[in-house]
Amino acid sequence: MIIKSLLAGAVLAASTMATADAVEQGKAIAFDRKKGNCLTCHQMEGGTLAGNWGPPIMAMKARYPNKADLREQIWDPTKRNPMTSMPPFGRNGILTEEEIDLVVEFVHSL
Amino acid sequence: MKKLTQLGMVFGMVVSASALAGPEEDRTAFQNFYEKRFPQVVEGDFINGVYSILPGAREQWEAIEEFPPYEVAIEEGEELYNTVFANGKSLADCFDTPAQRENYPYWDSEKGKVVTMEQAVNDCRVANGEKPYKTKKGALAAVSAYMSYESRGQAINVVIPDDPAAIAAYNEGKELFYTKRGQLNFSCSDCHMYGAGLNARADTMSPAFGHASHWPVYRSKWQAMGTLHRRFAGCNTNIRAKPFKAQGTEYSNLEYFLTYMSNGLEFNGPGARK
Amino acid sequence: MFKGLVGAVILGSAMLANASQSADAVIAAATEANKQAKSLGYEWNVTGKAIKAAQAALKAGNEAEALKLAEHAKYMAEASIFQAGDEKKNWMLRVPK
Repeated sequence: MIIKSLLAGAVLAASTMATADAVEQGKAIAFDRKKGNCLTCHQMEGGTLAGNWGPPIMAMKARYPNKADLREQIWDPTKRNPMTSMPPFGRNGILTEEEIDLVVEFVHSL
Repeated sequence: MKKLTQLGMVFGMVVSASALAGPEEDRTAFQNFYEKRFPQVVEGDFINGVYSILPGAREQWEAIEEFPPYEVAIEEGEELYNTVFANGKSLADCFDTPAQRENYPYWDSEKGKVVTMEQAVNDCRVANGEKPYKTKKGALAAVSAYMSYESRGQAINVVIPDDPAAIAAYNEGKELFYTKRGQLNFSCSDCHMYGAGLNARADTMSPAFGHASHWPVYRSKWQAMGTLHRRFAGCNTNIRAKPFKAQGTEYSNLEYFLTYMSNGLEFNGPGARK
Repeated sequence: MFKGLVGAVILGSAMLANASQSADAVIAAATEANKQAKSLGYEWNVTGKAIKAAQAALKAGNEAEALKLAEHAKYMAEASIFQAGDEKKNWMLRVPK
């Protein structure tokens, strides 16, 4: 029993660490001017010199209860709204699929 | 569901009607868009670009305009304008006056294409056995600066004749303006219409109404003069599109559309920009 | 059409694994697709660079890297062709009424 819960705890800790790591990696990609460059348009916690073109990125869990919807939005926002100025990061190959996964982890944490 | 479909059809019809609207209706809707978005801008002031909507930056800019960085180009341009070609003629022989801005761009029905002022300068050189100037900077930008300076205060009054080929050229320019291009997927209108006044980082997007009035421009970023087509190419590069050729059909048609959209404003080139 | 694009990329990744598809062939396919994008007036400035980088990697004997770069170039060329079709439908939405 003790061993079991210890094990479970260890697994939990490992997965939390993996997530925290993904959030950090995602943040680096999001803030990189040659990658996500999200701050050009969005205010985001931890970022400076942000633009105001798009809405501030906050309360994302409330705005996107389903992480997959957020991923869709980053992959190709023109699907939902052809008028948007936001680049389709996945559709146009601006970021790789792995990079988008990491950015989603970060953005969803805000 | 049926209602939705009907709604979709009506919407589709409205959309295609506006896409096919004539140049005049286009221009009215275009100018109304900016006047509504920036009610504080006094009439005619859109020729000052982003400074028409940024009072703070305007003061700095006006200070720069007191010792304009394009002055050297105007002098150089005047000299080139009067420089004698190998055949004894000069640019001055092709034009009755250097104050030509109000006559361009125009639809040349014989050539079957839009002719810009810069193109007319190069056509003159070629007709007299000289090589055409390079189209983005240098001598052509200088000649353009001189001619634009001499034309200051002229009204923008581009004419789209009732000729299917001219209207097709206008429509191509219009489509290019509203079309998303490049890996970053931006249209001219994304930034300079729906994004006008918004900030990308610290840079405010300028309104496209008035965009064509003040060229060529001395741009601090270039540390030099550049033509309007140089700027088009720079914008396209920024959005990761392969730029079209300066003075080629695409950009000339875009200039035709864009200048026509500013009809009623004044030409005030050359300009100075960040 | 676009589903085809995504499919092609997944397929491409699978090929990367068994390396049966030569970098040479993918570079040729990317070049061909980029030509088509250009003829539509929708060429991107990143695609040609990626093709050149793939060719350089191949020349340097790095087949795996060349294949990866070529796959990306091909993806971008196809995405720019898709953009051309998508925009034919959408640009009119942006014309103010």
